[in-house]
Amino acid sequence: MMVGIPSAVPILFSAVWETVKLSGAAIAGALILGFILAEASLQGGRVAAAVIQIITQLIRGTPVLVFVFLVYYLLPVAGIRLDKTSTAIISLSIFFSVFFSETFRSAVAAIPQGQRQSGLAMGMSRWNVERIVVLPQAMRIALPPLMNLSAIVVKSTSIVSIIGAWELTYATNELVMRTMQPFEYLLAAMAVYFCICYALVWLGKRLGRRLNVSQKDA
Amino acid sequence: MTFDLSLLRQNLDVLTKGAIMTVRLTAISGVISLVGGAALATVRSNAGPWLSAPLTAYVELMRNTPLLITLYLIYFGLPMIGIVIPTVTSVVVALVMQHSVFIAEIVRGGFLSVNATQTEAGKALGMSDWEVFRIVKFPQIVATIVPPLTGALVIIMHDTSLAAAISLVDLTMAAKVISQRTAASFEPFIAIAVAYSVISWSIGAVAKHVERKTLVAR
Repeated sequence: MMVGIPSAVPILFSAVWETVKLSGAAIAGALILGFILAEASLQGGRVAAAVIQIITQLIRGTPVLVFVFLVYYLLPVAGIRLDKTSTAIISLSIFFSVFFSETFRSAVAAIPQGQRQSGLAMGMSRWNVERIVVLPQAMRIALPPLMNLSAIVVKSTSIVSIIGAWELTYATNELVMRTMQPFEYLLAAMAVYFCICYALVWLGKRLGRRLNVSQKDA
Repeated sequence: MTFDLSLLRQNLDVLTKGAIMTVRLTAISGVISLVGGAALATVRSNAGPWLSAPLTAYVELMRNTPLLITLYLIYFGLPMIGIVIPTVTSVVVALVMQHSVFIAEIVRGGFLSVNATQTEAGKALGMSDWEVFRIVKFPQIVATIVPPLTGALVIIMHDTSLAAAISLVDLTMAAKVISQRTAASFEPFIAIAVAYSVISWSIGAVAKHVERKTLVAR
């Protein structure tokens, strides 16, 4: 049976929306977790830094698909039952948090130590030095790479279709199987991913240029 | 929950088969992507506008769309237009299509890292174009691009896991096969996560060695 394009359009629209939601949630999760990891490894002493480094190396050695499978099979063993979309969000958040954390870490490390010391010498608390002096500058440096990473997260959401989470790639694959018209649907999906990722990277570059005060002075 | 090692021993045949496939896919795709990437970088840095525009479009498309969609496009699309290739070949084609673009960027960075004055100096000394490339530029380019190429190779190796999406028996598919055979999913996926990490770290270790060998004074 042929399923024409008209009946496929609403399916594709809700699939795109699902991918957007999934990406948004995974990026937000990875950002928050990555920020916590970065702060913990910078402020938490040697042991915390070493433990986080080991976790980072372990996760970076594994393909994202394998990590998603691991979380998918480990959660039930740990007694946690979640639907596939939530599993996808959790696994992508954890996986990418180590990449976000490395970006935060190198951005914070790029702020000269002297600024921190002068802040402290002026009687600012450690937290205020971080909040007022270091983080605003570090964010400017981190923004373009963070947007690039976000685009990678969006692309990676396509692989959660392999554990059966319903999103754009899953829906596209289903339509291809039903209609035997691979080019129409796959090229449409490709165009959607392209628009999202290209916009993210473009925005990152633009914001990076606009916000980077120190580079303007140079 | 105990880790049942005998389960892995009983299924060592599938795991070995999968591991060999993963290494083979990585090696073949890595080599072709390197050659393709170097060619793409050379063509792009010498191309006129009529060639440069479509190449840029292709590069941006590959950078901003998921590999899984490219893989489906090859796997489902090519037979529709009368090109029937083995599953392994479709995976290699998809990997090369995507990763030669990333490698081309790395190689281009290598080209740019050698200052133009060195070419002029070489010519002033009476060297031919080829000699300038072989004696002056090449060693410096290699020293610049080996570290990022290592990262690219690890990513290629991780991306071979997507072969499982089209049921090619690589490491990831081997874990799926074992979990279907034995109803145990925890052990096989932990095992392949370790296997992927070991391969990643081995690539890193070999690269460190090569880096030391290719180190040149600047």
